[in-house]
Amino acid sequence: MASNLVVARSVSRGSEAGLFKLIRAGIPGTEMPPQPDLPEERLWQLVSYLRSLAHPAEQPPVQGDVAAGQAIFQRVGCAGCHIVNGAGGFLGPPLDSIGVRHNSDKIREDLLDPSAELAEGFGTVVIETAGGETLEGVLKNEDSFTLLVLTADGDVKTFQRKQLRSVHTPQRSKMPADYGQRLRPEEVQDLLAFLDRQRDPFVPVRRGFGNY
Amino acid sequence: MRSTRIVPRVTAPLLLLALLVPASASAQVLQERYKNPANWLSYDRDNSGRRYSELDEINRENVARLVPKWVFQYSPPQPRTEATPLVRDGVMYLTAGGMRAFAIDATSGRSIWRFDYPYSRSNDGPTPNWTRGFGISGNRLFLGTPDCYVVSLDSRNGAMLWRSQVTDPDEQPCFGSTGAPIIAKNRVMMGIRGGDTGRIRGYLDAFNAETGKREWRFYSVPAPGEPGSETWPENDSWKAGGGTPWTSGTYDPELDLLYWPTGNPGPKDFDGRDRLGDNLYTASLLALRPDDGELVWHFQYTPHDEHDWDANQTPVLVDAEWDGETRKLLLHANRNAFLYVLDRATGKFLRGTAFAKETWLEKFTPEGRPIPKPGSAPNPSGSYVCPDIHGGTNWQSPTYHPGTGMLYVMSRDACGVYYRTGHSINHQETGARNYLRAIEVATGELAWEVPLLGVESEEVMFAGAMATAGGLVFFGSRDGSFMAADANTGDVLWHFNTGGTIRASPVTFEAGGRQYVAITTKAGVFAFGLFE
Repeated sequence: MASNLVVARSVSRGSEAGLFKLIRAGIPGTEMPPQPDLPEERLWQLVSYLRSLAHPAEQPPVQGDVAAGQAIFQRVGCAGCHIVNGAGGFLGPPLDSIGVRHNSDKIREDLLDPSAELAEGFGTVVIETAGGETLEGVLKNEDSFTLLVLTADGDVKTFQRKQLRSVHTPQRSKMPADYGQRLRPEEVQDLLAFLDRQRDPFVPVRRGFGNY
Repeated sequence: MRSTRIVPRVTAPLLLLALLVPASASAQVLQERYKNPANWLSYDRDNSGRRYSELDEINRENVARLVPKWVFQYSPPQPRTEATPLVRDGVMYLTAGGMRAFAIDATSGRSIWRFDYPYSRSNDGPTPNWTRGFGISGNRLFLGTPDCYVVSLDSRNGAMLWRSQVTDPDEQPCFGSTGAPIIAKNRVMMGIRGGDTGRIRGYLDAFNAETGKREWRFYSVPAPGEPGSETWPENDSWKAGGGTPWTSGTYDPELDLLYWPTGNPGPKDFDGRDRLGDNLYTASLLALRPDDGELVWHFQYTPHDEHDWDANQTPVLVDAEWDGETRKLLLHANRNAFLYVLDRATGKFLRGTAFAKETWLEKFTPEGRPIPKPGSAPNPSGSYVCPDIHGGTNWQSPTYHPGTGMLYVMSRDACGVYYRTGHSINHQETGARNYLRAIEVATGELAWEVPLLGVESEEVMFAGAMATAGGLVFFGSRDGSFMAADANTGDVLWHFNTGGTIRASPVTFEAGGRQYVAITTKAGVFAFGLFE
C-alpha cells in the first residue's frame, strides 16, 4: 500500500530536491517505478503539485475585510515587530508567509494568546551582567558558553555565560496578550483575514536554533 | 614549504621606464564606510578589489600561533562553495550553495538566522548551486539567485524585503546570477552567467537598494546600430554573443566609475567564424557611470576571444606613482596570462606583462591590442596553446598590498589543445602547476612564487588570496590547505589542512576585540585566531 501523499513526511517535510530524486528514481523493491523519461520540467511540476497537497493552507480564505485588517495591523502596532510585504520590525517572526505556514485557527491562537506556543528563535531573554546591568532581548542562539541576543536597536550581542550574573528566559511572548480585549470581534476577524492573505511563498526564515 | 625567488622569465612587451611607488593611505580609494578595518563589507572587503585589510594583530611574527577558533558546518556540505562571507559589527553573513544563507556570530560561530530561498527552478538547463556571497548596505543584504533574481534581506532577521528579476525567461534563458552584488551609490549591481551556453546576450543590471526597482541595464553585446555593433557581423550572432559579467566589479567613488569585467563571446566559444570581428564588449573591462550605466570607456583584453579566456577577473584599483606622477591605476591579472596596468581614469593601456605560462602573444600594440602568434587560434587538427581553458588565473581574487607594492595572484601554468569544436586538457601529459605569485607592480616582474600541489586531476585551482597589514598573504589551495606567507619574501609561515577543496578567497575581520581570518570550504567556514 502506498503512502498517503497528503501527510507523507517525505512529501510535506522533505526537501524539494529529495522529492525530485525520489520521483525520478522510484523506490526499488516497491510498486513505485522510476521515471527516467519524464522531462525535468514535468518532474518539478509534480514536486510542486505534491507539495501543494501537503500544505495546510489549502482551505477557503478567511472571511473578513482584508483592507480593514491591514489598517488594524498598522494601527495597533503589529508592524513594529513583524515584517509584511518587505516592511516592518525585526524582533518578531516575519509574517509574509503566515497564511501558508499556519491555518486560521493557529493564527487566531497566536494573535489572542501569544504565549501559548512560543516561536522558536524569538523567545525573550533577560540577562544580568556581572556589573549589575540588566538587558532584555530576543534569544537568537545559545550554547554552553555563549548567548546571542538581538536587541531592540538591531544589534546582536554576544555574552559569555561565565560573565553573567543571571540568565532568565521567561516563557512568555513579548507580544501584547490583550488584543482580544482591545479589538472588537469583527476587527479580530478582519485582522485574521489580512494575515491569512499573507501567502508569499518565499518563506524567509526557518525558525529554531541549531548550528546550521 | 619555501618560496623561490626567481629571475623573471616574463617579458615586458612595452619598455616603459615606469617607477611605481605605493601612494599614501589617504589617496587610497576607500569609501568612508569601508574604513573600519574590523568589518568586511564587500566581496573584496571594500570596492577597490584589493582584498587588503589594515588589521595587524595577526602578523608575520605570531602567525605560527594561529589556531582554529570555530567552524560553522554546512548541513549538508555544499558541493561547490565559492562564497566570501561579509562581516559587520561582529556578525558574519554567509551564503551556502545557491539557495541558503546564514547570519553567524563572528566570535562563537553560532547561527543567528537562516534563510532558505525557495527555488523556483529555471527550465533552461543546469542551474548553479553556488554563489559568491552577499552585498550589504545599511541593514540590507543582497544576494543573486540561481533562478535569476536579486533578493534583499533584512540583516537583523533574514526576512526578505524585496525580490527583483534579473532575467525574464520570456526574453532569454536564465542561467543564474552567481557573482556577489556590488553596492555603489545606493544601487545594487548584478550581472548574469551562462555565456558559454551560446544562448544569451550578457548584461549588467542596477537595482535601487531600497525598492528593488531596476534603474538601468548595460548590455555587454551591443544591438545592431549601437556603438560597438560594427565589431559583429551582420547576422544574429550578437543575440547569443555572451560577454556575461558573472563576477563582481569594483568602484572608484572619486572618479565615480564602476569597473566591470565581461565574459567571452558566443555563440561558440572556440569557433568564431560566425562572429567575425572583435566582438565588443566581450572579454573586456567596462568603465560605467553608476547613475545611469553610461559607458565612459572600455578596454578589450582579448579581441575575438576563441579560447574562452573571458575577462572575469577582479579589476584592482590602486593609486600609485607612475612615470613620476601619482596616477589612478587599474591592475587586471587576466585569464589570458597577462597582467595589465591601465590608467583607470581614461582606460589608457600602460603595460602588459605575462604572469603565467603563455605561448600565444606575438606582441602588444601601443594601445594594448594583442597581436596573436600565427596558429594559436583553434583549428580542426588542434592548436596547442598556453594557457589552457582555465587560464593563467581565473575568477578567484588576487590581492594587493600597499606596503609591498606587490600584486599577489593565484596563478596556473597549464596548456591545452584547442579545437573549433572544443578543447582538451590532459594535465597528465601537459602538466599544470599552481602558484601563488607576487608581482612587483612597478616593474611587472615576479618577486617570488610559492609552488602549490602539482598536476591537477579533477579539481582546478579556484582558491584566492588576501593581504593584511600584518605583512601576510593568506591563500588557499585546491588540496584544502589554507596558508599564510610572508608578503615580502613568500616564506610560508603557517598552514592548516581544512580537509576539503578550497574554492573561495579568504577574509579577515575583528570581533570581540580580536582579529580572525576565515575561509569557506565545502564543509563550511573555518575561522582562525591567535592561540590564547
